[in-house]
Amino acid sequence: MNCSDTRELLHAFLDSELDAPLSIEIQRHLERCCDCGREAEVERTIRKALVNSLEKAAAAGETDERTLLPDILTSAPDQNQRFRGSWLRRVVWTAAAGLLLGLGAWRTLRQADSSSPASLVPRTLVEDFVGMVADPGKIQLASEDSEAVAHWFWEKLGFDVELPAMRGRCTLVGGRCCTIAGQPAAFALYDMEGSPAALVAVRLDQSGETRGPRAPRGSVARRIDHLEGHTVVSCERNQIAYAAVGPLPAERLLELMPLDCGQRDDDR
Amino acid sequence: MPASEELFVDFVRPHLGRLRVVAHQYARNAEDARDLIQETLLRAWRDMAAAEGRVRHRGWLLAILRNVARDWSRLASRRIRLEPIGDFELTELVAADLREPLAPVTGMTEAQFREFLDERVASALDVLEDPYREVLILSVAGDLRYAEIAEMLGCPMGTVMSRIARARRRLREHLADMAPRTQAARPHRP
Repeated sequence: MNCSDTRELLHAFLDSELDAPLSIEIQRHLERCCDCGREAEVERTIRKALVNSLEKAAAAGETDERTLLPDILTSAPDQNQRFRGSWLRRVVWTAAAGLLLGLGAWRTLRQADSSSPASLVPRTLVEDFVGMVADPGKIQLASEDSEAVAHWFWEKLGFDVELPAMRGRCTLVGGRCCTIAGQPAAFALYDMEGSPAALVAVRLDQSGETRGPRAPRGSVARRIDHLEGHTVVSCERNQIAYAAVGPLPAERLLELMPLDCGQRDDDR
Repeated sequence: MPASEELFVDFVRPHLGRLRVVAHQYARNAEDARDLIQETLLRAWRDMAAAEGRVRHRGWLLAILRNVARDWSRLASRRIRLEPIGDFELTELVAADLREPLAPVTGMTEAQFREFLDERVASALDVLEDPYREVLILSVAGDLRYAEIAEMLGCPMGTVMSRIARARRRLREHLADMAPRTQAARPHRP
């Protein structure tokens, strides 16, 4: 084994990828050759520093495994609408969407799949909601005027957010601009007869890529999640994902959703 | 928790650390990394339920994570920092190139070198070209064998070996470029 051959195989040797006879040959060469031995030591040190650096970067941004394991695996058995297995979940989603829309016009499963922001972040939404309620200082624009808050969202975020018109049972507290999964998001906080609730709006991807057959105009699929005493009702409309969050039944949270999100106007 | 879920969680739990480290290299921020991992686990759960009895290992989880990152990189709404390399980008390298001496990182004592690495290795990795960076991360952070990486990327193992060796050389070259060249640094004598 000479220096040239050793250099060619050095990294595979250090990664324990070589068979025993070859490894022994290289080890013997490293023990005899000061230059190659030193190079191996430098490479080992670099590898160790790289591992430490990567682990430190990951550790800085993450908490415990409960925030990593998705809802499907950590939900309590007595919560409603917790589905096990993709086939059952897809069947129930499709059936629920069909029932709500009444005439069987619903989006394909790909548009309700787990690559959309709304379907990936129920836990994030609940956590953000709880944080907002706990700290009113996070509200950036305090106002009961839904037109003013919607206009402010448009100025800050560049897209139209449909906020419900004010009614006796629902009072707008204010709005906040934030990000969800790296996307600009509107967060509107409401008081629904003493219970807090929020409407979150996130603009969907702008690539124009079609992710499945386009649904008929105005028809959307709706999803309901239950998590830690909160309900998350989400839907998509006009390339915006909406989610209503709060410690309330889904029927109440629907009052915050834009028209046509699974509900007729005279139901309000 | 149903038995099948318990089995899945028991399988996944030892690999969460590695998943986390690799996900942070694909994603631009902690939030995206968390979403990436969640989506990976969801797909793994579905796949495991659909193909009961097949042996699963960490390489399988990392392959799913890589596929999720690749899917997201095609969507404008996702910011993926590391672009997963396409299979066609993997080529055999000229063996002679790997026989050349490694870039010298001299002029430092051992303690200075370790301190220098702590400060610079992440930056050196960041400027590494994507094809090299990805295989290096799968090997070092994902702790995958070359054969597992080859299976994941759909290429011969020899290609992975040469790609990793080249990645380490490029990393070494970046570190050498960043190394201090001051008179205060004493040369290291073997």
